[in-house]
This record gives sequence, C-alpha cells and structure tokens, in this order.
Amino acid sequence: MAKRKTLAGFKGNTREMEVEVPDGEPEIWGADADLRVVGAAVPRVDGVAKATGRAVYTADVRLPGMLHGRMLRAPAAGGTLKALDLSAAEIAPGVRYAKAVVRPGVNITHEGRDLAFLVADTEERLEAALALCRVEIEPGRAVATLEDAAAEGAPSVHPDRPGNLRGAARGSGEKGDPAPAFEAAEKAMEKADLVLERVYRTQVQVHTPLETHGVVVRPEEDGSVTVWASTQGTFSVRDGIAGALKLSGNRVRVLTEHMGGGFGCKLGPSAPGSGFALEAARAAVELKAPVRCMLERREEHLVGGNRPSSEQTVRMGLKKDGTFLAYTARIRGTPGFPEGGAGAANPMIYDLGRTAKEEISVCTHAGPQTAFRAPGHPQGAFGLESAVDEAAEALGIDPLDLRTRINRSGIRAAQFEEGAKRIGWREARRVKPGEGPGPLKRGVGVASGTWYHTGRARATVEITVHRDGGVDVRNGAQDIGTGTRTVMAVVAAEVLGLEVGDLRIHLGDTTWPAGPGSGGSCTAPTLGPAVRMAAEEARAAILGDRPAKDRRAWAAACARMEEESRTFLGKPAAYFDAYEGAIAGCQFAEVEVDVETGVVRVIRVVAVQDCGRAIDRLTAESQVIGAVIQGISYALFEDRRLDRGTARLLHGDLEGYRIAGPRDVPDIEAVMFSVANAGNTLGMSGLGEPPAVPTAGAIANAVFHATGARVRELPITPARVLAALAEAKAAKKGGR
Amino acid sequence: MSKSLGRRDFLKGAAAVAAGGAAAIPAVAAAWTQEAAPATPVLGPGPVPFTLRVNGKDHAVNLEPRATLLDALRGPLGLTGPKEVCDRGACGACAVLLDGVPASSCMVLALDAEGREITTVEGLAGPDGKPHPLQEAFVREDALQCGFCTPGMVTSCAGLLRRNPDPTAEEVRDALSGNLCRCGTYPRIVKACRSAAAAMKGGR
Ligand code: FES
Ligand code: FES
Repeated sequence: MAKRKTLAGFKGNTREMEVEVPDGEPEIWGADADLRVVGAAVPRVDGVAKATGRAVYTADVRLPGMLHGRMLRAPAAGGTLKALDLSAAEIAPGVRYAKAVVRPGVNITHEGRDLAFLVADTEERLEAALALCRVEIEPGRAVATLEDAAAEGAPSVHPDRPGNLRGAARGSGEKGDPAPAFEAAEKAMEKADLVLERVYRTQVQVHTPLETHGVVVRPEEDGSVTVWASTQGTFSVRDGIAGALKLSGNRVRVLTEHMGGGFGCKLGPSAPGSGFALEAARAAVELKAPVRCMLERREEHLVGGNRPSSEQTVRMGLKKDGTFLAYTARIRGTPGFPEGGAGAANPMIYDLGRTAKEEISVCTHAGPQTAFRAPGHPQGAFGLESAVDEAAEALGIDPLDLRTRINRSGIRAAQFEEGAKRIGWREARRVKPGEGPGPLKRGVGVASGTWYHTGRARATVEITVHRDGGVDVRNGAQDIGTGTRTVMAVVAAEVLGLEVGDLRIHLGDTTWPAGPGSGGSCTAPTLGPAVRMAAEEARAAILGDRPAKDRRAWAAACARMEEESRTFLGKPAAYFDAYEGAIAGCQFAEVEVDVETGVVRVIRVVAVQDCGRAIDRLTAESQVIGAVIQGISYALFEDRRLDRGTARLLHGDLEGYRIAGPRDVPDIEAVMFSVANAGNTLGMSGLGEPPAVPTAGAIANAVFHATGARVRELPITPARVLAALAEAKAAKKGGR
Repeated sequence: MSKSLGRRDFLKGAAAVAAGGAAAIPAVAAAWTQEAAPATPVLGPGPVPFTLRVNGKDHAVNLEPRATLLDALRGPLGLTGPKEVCDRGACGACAVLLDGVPASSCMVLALDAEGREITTVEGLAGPDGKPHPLQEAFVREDALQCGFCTPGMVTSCAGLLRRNPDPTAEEVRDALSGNLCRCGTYPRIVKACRSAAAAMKGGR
C-alpha cells in the first residue's frame, strides 16, 4: 500500500486528498488530469453494427439443424398440480423432447410456473404440441394483491409455512427488532410542531427488455457446449449451465456479443421465475442438436422478474422551521412468490432526525421480483420525496429550501442550485400550487436520489499487442447497451496514444478473462480501471520512456518487438476511499396537467447527475436520458396487473402493459456533474442506476405544484389525478 | 383489399366467425371472403412457393400461408435486422418499408407481400456498403443503446424522410409513435432523424 495525493472534488470545491492505493496501481486521474480522449463525445464503437442491422443478438442466431424449445407453464395460480400428461404431445409431429420438470402435488405458486420442457423441429409444431399437453390442477384460492394476501385467513402462497408476511424488519439501519427505534422516534415526535402521517403506494413494474430472456445451446463434438445467451451475466449463465450439465465451467462457452436490454432481470442463468435455459441445455445435450429457447412476450411478463410493489406508511415530526425530529417508515410490498425482497429505500439521504424502518414482504401468487435498475430506490424516493414535499407544503416552506436544509451532501447542494437555475425554479414557484390560470396547469417539482460507488467486482482485462501495432482488449463480460465497449476503447486509446478506432474490444465470451455481471452499475467502473492498468503495462513495456504520442509512434515501437505479440493483464484493486461516500443526483420536472381530463404531460426534465468522470460523454448522457425516460414511464403508465380473483396476468403484451413511447417524452437535459471522486484510478462511477431513482418523485411533486392535488400512488393515471383533485376540492370546502 | 389484409384483421375475422357464426362476420372479414374466396385458389395449409422482392433482389420462398413477412425475412431469408419483439403490431421493431411505406412486418402475411418492393434495414445502406445518412446520424447522436429497437427506428425514419424530407421534431415523434424503445433513446432519435434530413438535403 502507498499513500498517493490527488485532487478530488468538483468545480469550485476541489481539495487535495490522500488516498491509500495498493502497490502496482497507476496514478489516479484527479480533477486536474489533462486527458485527450477521455471525456470527449465518442460515438459508440458498435453503433454502426447496430444501426445497420448487422449486429447479431441471441434472438438472431440460426444454426443448421436447430430445434425449438419452450416451457409448458402453469395456466393458473394457486392450488396444486394433480396430473401432467405429455403423452399426446410426445407423439405429435415434429416433437423431439417432452420432459416434466415438476411432479404432481407441486404447489402452483404463480401462473407460468415451469411444468415441462418441450422441443420440436419448428416453432409452429412446438406450439401445437404445447396445446396437446394435459395439465390438471386441483384449484386453490389465489391472492393477487397486498391487501388480500395480508388479510386474516388469506391462503398462504407457501402452504407449508403459514401466512404470507415475511419480515426483514430493522430500525435505524441496525438489524433486528425495529420496535425500540420506533419507540424512540415516536418519543422524539412528541416535541414536534407538526406530525404528518401519509401512505404512498407504488405498483409492480416489469422490466420489459425488448429482447426477451433466451438462449441457443449447441452441444459440441467434444462434450462441451456453446451457449448464446441474452444475459447481463455471461459467467453466471456459464456456471448455471455447467452445474446443470455437471461439466466444468471451461466446457461451457457463453457468448453475448450484443443483447437487447436487461435492466436487472437478466443476471441469473435462466430467468428469475424459470429454469428454461438449464432445461434447454439438458435437451440439447440429450438430442445432440442445437436448441433455441427465447421467452415469448407473455412469459417475460410472467416469469421474467419485476420491481416489487410498495406501500410506505410514513410518519414524520417537524419543528416549524423545518427541522425534522423524527421520521419512520413501515414498508410492505409484494415480491410475488419469493419470500422477501420487497423493500423500499425510504428513508434515505436526508437528515430526518430519529429514524425507524420496518420492511415486510407480503407473498402473492405471482411471478418473482428481482433486481430492477436501482432496486428499492425509485419506489423509496417516490415515498420519501413526496413526504418531504408534503411537510414543506404544510409548513409553508419552499420545498427546495426544505431539502437544502436537511441535505447532507455537498455535491447535492451544488446540484440543487444548478438544477434550480436551469428549470427556473424560483420563477415557477411564485405560482402557488394549483393556482395557475386555465385548465392546463403547469408545475415544477424536485426530487433526489443516491447510489453507491460500485466497481468492487474483480475483473481481469487482457490486452494483446501485435507487432504490426494492432491492439486487442479482452474481457468475458458483456455490454448490455450501456456503452461498456466504448468506455474500454476510450481508456485504452488515452493511455496508448491511439484513436478509439485503432482498438478492437472483445466482450461477451467466457473463454476470455472473467468479468462482472452487470448489476449495481459496476460493469464500466470495474472494467475501466482494469483496462487502464493493462494498458499502462503495455505502454511501459512497449514505449518505455517515449511519450504515447500518436499512432505512428505506437506502430514504430511495436515494430521493434521481438515477439509476434505480447499480452498484458490488468487486475486492479477494489475501490479506494472515495471523495464522498455516495453518488448524488437530483432531478427537476416540469409538467402540464389537464385538470378536466386528469392527463399529465411531462414538459421538461433537468437531471443533474454526479457522473464521477464521464469517460465517454455521449454514452454517459444516454444512460441518464434513458433512466429518466424509464422513470417517466414508471411514474405515469406502467402497471403490472393481475386478476384479483384468480391472480392471472391481465395483459402479457405491450398494449395492455404500456411503456412510454416517443410522444410521451420531452426533451431531457442531462447535466453531467463531474466529481473527481478518487474512488479508482479513473475517478469514474457507475451510471446505469443512479439517474433512475428520482424521476417519479419529481413528477409527482410537479403534479402537486400544478394542481394542488397530491397523488400518492403510482402510476399517476388520469383517474387518480381527478380523484385527488376532487379530494383537494372537498378538503378546501371543509376547511372553510 | 386482400393484399393489404394484415394478420390481425384476419384473426379478428376468424374469431368473430367462431363466436357468432356467419351473421356476425364484420365488414372486413365479409369483404375478404367475398373478394378472396372465388377469385383465388385455396392455398395451404402446407408450404406454398412464391417470390419476395427484398432489397432489390428476388427470393424464391416456400412457406405456409400463415407465415408472416417477419418470419420469412428472419427465417429463410436470413435478414435478422428486423426484430421480433411483440409479434402483434405494438412496437415497430419489425418495421420494413413496403413500396417505400413503413409497415410492421409481423402484421403482414408473407404471401401478401408478393409483388411488393420490400426494404429492410439491411437494404438502406448504399450499394458500396456505405451506411445510410440516417444510420450515420444514429451513431453520431448516440440514438441507440442496446440497439434492439434501432433497426425498426431507422426504418421508420427512412419512411418518414421519403414523404417528408424536412420534418419538425413533432413530426418525427408522430411518425415514430408506433415504435417502442425500452432503453429510452427517443430524444436522440428525433435529433438524429432531423440531422440526417439536413445532411441529405445538403446532397450527402
Ligand atoms: S414485432 Fe412487429 S410490431 Fe412488434
Ligand atoms: S436501444 Fe434498447 S430498446 Fe431501444
């Protein structure tokens, strides 16, 4: 370990920091680093392949002799499987494989539960065969909603373990019994001038990647298998399939050159609620033929994972001047059939006095929750930021001023200022909530979010330099559309004195060095420093003391190499001590609400995002813009609904389940707030998740400013806006 | 009529027949039966040989009449630019140009595309393989992330620029209202489309 000095912080707020850095690490790029390619707007290196349709995704893989597989899924929720008869399907034309994956007697935890895996020579024949399978279910009552599942006498989703409530209760950040923390908070509230209790609700959201989960598995002559997978974790697919086939990991080669979106739902070997990839692998090996299995859109909604719902009961006690004395949150949510995972990140970030929190997952007969872009955070931020807004309104304090008062982050304080200027906060807030003229009312709202410094996953990047000057950069992990490949190219180009186009970046092949799964926004901040380290080694070995000037200098030095090629490895340490503990961001939304129809239109969003050091400005901005759009979609449209009586999915398509389209989306101002964070040798942060946190809260608060009506449940539909307006009107009358 | 009858209309008609008998056949299905039944020989259910003209070349195919144009393109023709996302006309990922007009190829029966000029995203590039100005603009503006919606977006934009070489942002959004992107690239697609329009006017 060595102590290194580096200039950390952000514009107007830098300071020299001493960081403990393991030996062998390159120097840290601080706030004063003079960089040539890093930070420029570099078009993504695989852009042309994607724009011309040449990029091949797992769904596009067609192999000679390829067969088609699909899971037979439970057509109901609740009850037990009485009989499963595949005999008619087995002898149907073109059917090559039909195997039950569960036994009669099994509990039907959710519609879509895996029952049997079938393989046929064409998709049409596969579909016909699936229709011939006889599934008999002993019906049982199913619970679809939080209220029904939590009610006295509700049927248990897991009958062997009574009740549906699964507590992961904790108080003030400590594990264990939350009761003392709640008591202490209640006591603190006794001195409050104002105590508010509010309930906020959020819906179940489905990831809806445009490319569904899927694999193509090809058994090879030598007993190994090759797997094309639409995944965020090539190595987790490798390990899962190796385990299922009892092969060593190096006999399973997983390829993911391009993939059509994941957002958290594609981290496992199959899908969160299905083992289809393992079954496809077993079938392929048994049939000695390639098997393709891509989930259908409806399956994606049933078993592809989701963001759990939440019900957040918040109590807060404040002094007149806006000081929080205490804040408690009792959170319940539906994870579907899994027994946990439905928490919400509320409270968070602010100074709220004494806090207490309880999180309870309420199982329902539904497909499973899973990681979804900043798990727990968008729902938590909607609850927390709505609550803070309501407190500000009740005390007659400007909501931004109240936030500034309870804010604990220097980065966020500067961001609030920046965002307020850009959206025109002071000007807009001169109009009191709901008091604008006409039926089309405008309002602005603010919310913020946090995320963690990731990049702790260890990875090795391999750089091979050829005598003709060619450079290959390799890692086995995947680029899920975030721009990882481009980030890697930019870093290598910077160090070697090359242009981005001079490098070949190879990702998505588990025969290359191990890399991380794309979760927690860790891919780029894990691989970026590893590229840097390998590239610095290559530079030192090949250029020696000569400067990394340009392509010609590089080629000349390479030509002097004795070997045909040389390979360098970069395997950096985990994160160092960062400048500020967490990543900060805030968003300002301007909306227009038609108070006659209840329709909300987002007019503008300003997203001020701590981006660490943006390695490639273009793809970094795209991450922020995309996250905001998903946030708008979450705030206004998306809602996975089940039939209340049967717990069956009401819509397994893109019409009933609506996501934001081109006309729902305003121009979005992505303000890249650079912070030299000294967290790694590049000073870079993950950027996939942090900007996905604040959007819904900012929109809800803007809707209140526009209308004077508070919608406490997502999505903010026209019906909910009209109901809230009616409620606000009644309250006003009652108050007079 | 029969030429432009999409699969959805066909399915709708069929469902109505099953549910309500002949009296309930809606106008669309009635027109189809009258027009198509006596004039055309019965095709299928087995494979039928016919020709598709795609990206300027004729391709002989042998497909069941129920096969969609998207099936034909992605399967036997090996053109996997157009993507299958919803297979129900809801997302535009499968967009192609039919005689220059954008259409969801999952909603067109392959047979019905016979005799029409079909252009896929692969056919937009110049004969020398140089990407279309739209494709260049998508890359320049970073109007793509995972890229799965991108072929459909580029194709829909190409259709728009054919009938409107100088669209406003609003017109681009309208033209793309049938295309979905989950990664959230819309604002940059609007920019890219208008930037390509400018480049094309400039004689590029
Ligand atoms: S796949 Fe054709 S419109 Fe969605
Ligand atoms: S870029 Fe991923 S769906 Fe549009």
